[in-house]
Amino acid sequence: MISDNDKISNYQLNIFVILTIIEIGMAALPAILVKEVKSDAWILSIITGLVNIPFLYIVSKAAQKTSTQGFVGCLKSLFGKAAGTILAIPVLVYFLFMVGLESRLFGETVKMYFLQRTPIEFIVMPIIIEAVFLAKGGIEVIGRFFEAVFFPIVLINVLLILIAIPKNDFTNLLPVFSADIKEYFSAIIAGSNSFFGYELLLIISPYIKEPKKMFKTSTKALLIVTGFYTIAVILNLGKFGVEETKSLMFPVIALAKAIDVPGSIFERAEGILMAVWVLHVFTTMAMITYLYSVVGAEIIGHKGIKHIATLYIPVVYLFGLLGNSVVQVFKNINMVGATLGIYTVIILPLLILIASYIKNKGGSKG
Amino acid sequence: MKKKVFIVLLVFIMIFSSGCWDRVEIEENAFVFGIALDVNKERTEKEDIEKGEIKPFYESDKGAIRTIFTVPIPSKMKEAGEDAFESIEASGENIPSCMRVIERKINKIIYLGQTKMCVFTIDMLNNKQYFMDAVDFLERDPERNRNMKVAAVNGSIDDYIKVKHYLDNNLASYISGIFQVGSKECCIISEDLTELEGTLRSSKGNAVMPCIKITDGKAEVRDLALIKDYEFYQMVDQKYLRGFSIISNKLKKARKLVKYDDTIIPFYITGVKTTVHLEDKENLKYKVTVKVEGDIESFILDEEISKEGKIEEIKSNLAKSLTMELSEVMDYFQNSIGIDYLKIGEYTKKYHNKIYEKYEDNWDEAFKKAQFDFDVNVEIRRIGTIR
Amino acid sequence: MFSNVKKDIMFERHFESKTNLSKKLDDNIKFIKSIFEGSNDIVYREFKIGGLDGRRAFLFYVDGMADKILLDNFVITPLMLTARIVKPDYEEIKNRLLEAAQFTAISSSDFKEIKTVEEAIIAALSGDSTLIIDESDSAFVIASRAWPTRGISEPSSETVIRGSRDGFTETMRMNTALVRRRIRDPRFKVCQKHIGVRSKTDIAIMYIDDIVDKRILDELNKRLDNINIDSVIDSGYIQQFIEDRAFTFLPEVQATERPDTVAASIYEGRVAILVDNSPQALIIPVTIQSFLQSPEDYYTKPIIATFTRILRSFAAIISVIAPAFYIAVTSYHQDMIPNKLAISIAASREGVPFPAYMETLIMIIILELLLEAGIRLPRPIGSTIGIVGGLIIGQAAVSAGIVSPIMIIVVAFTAVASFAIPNYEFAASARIMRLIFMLGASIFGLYGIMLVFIGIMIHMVNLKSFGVPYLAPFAPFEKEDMKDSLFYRGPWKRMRKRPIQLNPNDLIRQGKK
Repeated sequence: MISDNDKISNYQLNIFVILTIIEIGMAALPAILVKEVKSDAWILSIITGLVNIPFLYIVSKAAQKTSTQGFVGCLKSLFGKAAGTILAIPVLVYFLFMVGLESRLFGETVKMYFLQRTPIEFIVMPIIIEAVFLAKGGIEVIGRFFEAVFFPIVLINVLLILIAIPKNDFTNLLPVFSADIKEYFSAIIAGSNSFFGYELLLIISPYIKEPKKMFKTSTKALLIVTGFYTIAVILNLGKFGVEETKSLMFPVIALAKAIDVPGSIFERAEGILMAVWVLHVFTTMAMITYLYSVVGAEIIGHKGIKHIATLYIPVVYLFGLLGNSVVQVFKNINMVGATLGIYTVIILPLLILIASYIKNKGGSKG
Repeated sequence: MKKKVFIVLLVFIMIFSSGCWDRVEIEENAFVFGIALDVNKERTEKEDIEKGEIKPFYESDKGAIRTIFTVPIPSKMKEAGEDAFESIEASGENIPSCMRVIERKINKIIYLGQTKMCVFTIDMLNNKQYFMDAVDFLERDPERNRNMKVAAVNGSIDDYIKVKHYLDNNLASYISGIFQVGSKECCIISEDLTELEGTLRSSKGNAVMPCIKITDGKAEVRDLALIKDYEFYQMVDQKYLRGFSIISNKLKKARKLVKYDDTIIPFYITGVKTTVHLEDKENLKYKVTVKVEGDIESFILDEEISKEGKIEEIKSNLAKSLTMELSEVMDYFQNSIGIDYLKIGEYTKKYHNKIYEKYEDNWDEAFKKAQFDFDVNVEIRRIGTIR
Repeated sequence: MFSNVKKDIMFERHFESKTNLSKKLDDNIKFIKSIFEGSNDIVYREFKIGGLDGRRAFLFYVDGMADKILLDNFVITPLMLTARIVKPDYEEIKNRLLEAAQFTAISSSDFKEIKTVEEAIIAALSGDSTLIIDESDSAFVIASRAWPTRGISEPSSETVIRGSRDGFTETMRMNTALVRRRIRDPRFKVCQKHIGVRSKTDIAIMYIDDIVDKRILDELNKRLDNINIDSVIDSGYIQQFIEDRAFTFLPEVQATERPDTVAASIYEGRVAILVDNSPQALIIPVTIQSFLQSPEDYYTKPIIATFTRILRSFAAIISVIAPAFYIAVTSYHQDMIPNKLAISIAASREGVPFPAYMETLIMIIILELLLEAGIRLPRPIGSTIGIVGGLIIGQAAVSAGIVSPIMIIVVAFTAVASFAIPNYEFAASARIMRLIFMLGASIFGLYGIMLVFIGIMIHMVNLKSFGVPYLAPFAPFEKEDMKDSLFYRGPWKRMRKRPIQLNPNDLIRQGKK
């Protein structure tokens, strides 16, 4: 029997953050960056990753405050019961939207490349249900799943990267620093959406074994994600060049389609890519499902997260069906990320820190 | 427990009652191996149906383009006979409408996922609208094979279909095989669809396409079709192609003839490395350094090649000849063609962005005025088994 | 005296009813004979100790289960004959007859003193014999178990090239001896219980006291004590009672016929259970690794063992996914296969009336039928039927145009790969997983395969065997444990510690010399 069942070790936290951040948005990331800054896209992805580190710092410091009472509990104690609950509701809505839009966008890619005639509802429904199944088991089961899946994911990703390297024209990465500072800023804002995901620290901090090391571990994870994204952008630029990448909707998937490994059993690597992608998307969705069921349960005061997760399936499904076309879905994601995302990731942790600082000061004085 | 069973049952019922939509049996698919596109000459009057107000019907029987799909018949492929594949022809406004027409005629589903070869006639290339439509369709469709080769056909499409395909059982693999083997062994430029799209986009409509010349029912890959502004511009003769490949650093292997005493000796180039340097930033003076290495394939029978000075002489002859060849190619591209197909602009953009930005709007003019110096270095590595 | 003790409640749920022996021998004899009324294979022997005027004694046992030679020579003879010849006389010893019989006369070594009738009856039914002496309220149980057994032979389902060839038999005592020989540590405990109200089957729980995690042991004992069934015929019954979760197709207890596997597991910190009448021993706790490892891996060189392990894991994956993959690729994603292969598959499928998933389903059903039939048939015919059936049916099906040749290859590949799985129960689970994957593939293609994979992973991740997660060492990732995992086997010099997943008390197994 293994003791300390419910606590998440550093290694597990690392994997959580990595797998939660990498989601379907990454497939479109090179196009988004290249549209703004052309051939500096790979520098931009590094910079966007680094820019997210101070936000990560704020989030982890705020997470340390929530580690005793849980997320909603901490909000309630800092701001009072009513205000705390009101502050927590946008977070819940953000997570619901994220799962819905994620599943929808993923469904669109699957439909576009693989199952053209299958109705999108049937593509999206099974993966939402499976995410709920996993989230029902609690953080321990999620941790085991992520760990078990991590190794094959890394292996296949490395394999894909290796077969994408030949026939790449890496001189497409030049010229460097050819864009203006203004374009840099707009690219950072556009690309940051793909780097969000570390807000999970706020909610699972009660289960972390070593809260003091939260920041270090998550930074390591964020850097790994940044490296991965940068490699994807570099490979894309090398294969297609600036103009082509700008025009593709999902450059990463098109890259997998364009890989040519003559003489192998699989001429098209996109099957392998989609297999790995299902795992990436599923891990993100399962984690966010767990997060919203925890927040939802705490808001209502209910103990069993399983019921909340199951209850919200129709809501998530409907949120996913909101956009009318693929273009609309992209716009929705940007909108949600710009409003609720920034609230959850930046504003709320800041509020938590400020409020706890004031309270501490007040407390020590009084 | 009961709830679980209920949910699972519900899901199963949903799945099974709706059927599998995408399941297409492999024998129901007609794998298109080659696409050939041509302009429909029967449509003489320019029916400008694109202009004017919205009309209810845009489909017409006399379509704008003709497409011919070559589809193999799997069971006959095993016997590898002449009729192992069929060419299916249709005409329509653009490729998708051709496909709709074909679907009414054959009993299988057109599947572009395994296409090897896509061929445009020069007439098609002359027609900017249709060419752009075709390339856009090929880019947008998620199903089609991005690694298919593209080429231009110098001749009519009916001649192309009747070409005798030696040593292979269908035309598309024969032609794409020529490209595949040729691009490694001799100096043929092979172009993927990906490369075509990439160059078209990055240079706003300029690209190159290898050309297939059809004479007496036999195909030969020679010449290069230049595309400017999404339209056919000019044909480059075969003799300039070696220099072209050398300067764009695409050459894998080629043969060159060189003079020695009074005989012509073949030299087999096995490796080329070209680097371009911008020497004079003000006046756009480039220096192109070319390092060539290769083998001597045949020599004079009663002379020894390993005697003193002979190799050196051959080398210097080669260098001189190659320098002159490259200068002539560059001259041709600068003056007769006048457009930068040699990717000099790309090089300048990558390494000297500030200077490129000065000339960005009218790079072709700058290209015409630029000066190029060639520095060729030839090494003879192997001479075979005889001294 | 015993009339008020109802016979039928004696063998009810608990053995709380304890009827003491009476001092009068006739009462005891009458009671025992009434219990065994109707059975003619019980032997009763009355005799007198110390001459015609000596003390009466009564011996009873079950014919066929007790060793008559031992009883005749070493129990009855000393008491009847030798006691009369050798000093001291009956008259002198009269008051201490029991003591004298116990310590100086009865020459058998395995000997126990009991006080209740129930114990006497259970002893007799187990093959021991009971000796009751007049005027004493205790009886002696003499161990005389001897019955015909199968000799020690190589287990048919777990063959190795390198390694010992002995396997367990149906006698529990022989099995415990086979394991004891490999663990000559006094801290190795063999703890016996009776399970099954009517069958009273012997069960031995074996573990090493200072290695095993006591919580596992407590949990096991708790579960065993909760078993309240009337009969335990095979270790499979016990297996299903102590499993964590009944509703899963994955095995949660490892069943093996090899004593070296059992010994090695006990050394790692696991607990083994031997059940009488069953040659399969149970090992708990179990992780997914146990099902894909073979004892040979530990006896060969590390590189070869690693290669074999990778091959085996690969074979397990292939046997589960291959048919589903065929369905997905030929029905949904035809652009994933090379040109020529696509054409040749299309050519071979041209005359086939069924869609790909139906074809695969038919062939897999035929495969399962052949496998199942092959087990039932007597040995020489069994293997022939496999080859003949497979080849001929396959060939005939292709000629008739029911399936395509490619399908035969896929199915043959699957079958061969599934035989590489060392554990029979896991191979059975693999068959079920194969069907589920095929279902997923026929609905959604490659996406369906991934969905089923995720579903099965979720299921496996939720499983715990006696507190140890099923997917250890991958799930909670223990770097140390990876030295002996599915894909790798480190050299013995490096394996210093026992598996951490089992949380053993004594972690270090190898020190420096």
